[in-house]
Amino acid sequence: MSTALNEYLRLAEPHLSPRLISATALADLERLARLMPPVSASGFECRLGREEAQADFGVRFLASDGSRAMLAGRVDAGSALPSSLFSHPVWERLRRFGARWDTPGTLLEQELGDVFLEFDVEGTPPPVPIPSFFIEYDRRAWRRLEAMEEALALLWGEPLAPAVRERVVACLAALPSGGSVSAVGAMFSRRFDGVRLCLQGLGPSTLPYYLLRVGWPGDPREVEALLARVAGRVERMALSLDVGATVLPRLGVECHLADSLHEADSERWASLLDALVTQGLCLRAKRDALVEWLGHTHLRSRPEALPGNLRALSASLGPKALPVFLRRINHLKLVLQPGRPPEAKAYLVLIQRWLGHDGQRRRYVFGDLQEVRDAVLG
Amino acid sequence: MMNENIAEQNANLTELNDETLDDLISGGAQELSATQAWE
Repeated sequence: MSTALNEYLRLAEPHLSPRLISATALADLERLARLMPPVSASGFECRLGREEAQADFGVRFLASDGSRAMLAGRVDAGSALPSSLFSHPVWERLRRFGARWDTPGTLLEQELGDVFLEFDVEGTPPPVPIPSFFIEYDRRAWRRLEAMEEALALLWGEPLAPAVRERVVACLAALPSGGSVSAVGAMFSRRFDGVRLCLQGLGPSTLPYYLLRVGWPGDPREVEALLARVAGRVERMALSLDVGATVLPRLGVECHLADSLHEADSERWASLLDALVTQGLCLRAKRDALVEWLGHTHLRSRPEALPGNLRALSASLGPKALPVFLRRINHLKLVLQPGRPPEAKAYLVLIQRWLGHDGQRRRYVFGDLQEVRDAVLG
Repeated sequence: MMNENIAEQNANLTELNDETLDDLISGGAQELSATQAWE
């Protein structure tokens, strides 16, 4: 790989407080990022109520930034993932999955927008790190169950167990009007044999009753109390639910502010985090570090400091286009395990986008490489 | 700052002042697709 994700991470490092991710933990993340391609979105999961300054690392693969082609091992991908990864059967399966997903006209190509790999980072990562995975439906997809099943069969090397499938079908059927599945996560290790369903279109008025309907083994009043903690400060909620042969007790409620992360929304994030600090779910130092993270980075005055891939693209596009990195919070998550105090986590993201000038329409535009290239070159 | 408020657009991004550039990056430019990371 000519440019690896660690070169993007390097640009984010000055804005990552050691209160969130310690220097040691960051060095471990950096080692892992050397194995990953320069994807347009990556991120960190940080626990807000604990002093520990560690983070799990997420890498999103998708078509538009070339990372899907790299996962598929396509010869015209321009670059390749380290061959050492594919000595492991999990990565072999990821490649088979990637190849299928990258094939035009397949169900996976039609239905899936991206795949998100999440690495638990505790100490020096092994030479071949094994992530959890989330397959995310395209926003315009039908969200067919068959796509989930085909993806899981390729990634696990075996189909979804019938009892789990039955429960997943029941959970999807119980969704209220406007509810849908956005993503499905699972572990390669199969320590947990079920899946995590990420369900959107649920909110304070529908979520507790939905949990009752699907047989969640907890008290919905606990969920109502949890949601009340963030009432009025959240634009959109999503539920992450672990589903095996039964619905498991641990759940997460994602708190989002907007559908687009173009704007930093600093004041609204600060307000939401303040509420969590008041309720003892977030340490003040971590709240401050998260607000400090929000911003953007461009290297207009120091193009020589750009990662190699962006330096080359930038030179080819000329002064009408500029690569930028947005530092954003994707969402906060409240995790509830019945009988235990709730926990809060933050998901920080580093997003690589382009600013350009569209001469024909006389406007400045913001988007992915292909969109901005088309607008700039007209 | 929105696009329409920029009286004299400069196609050369290296010549924009820092404040204008920051405004465009952080919401002022026309988004061609939603800026998302993951759901």
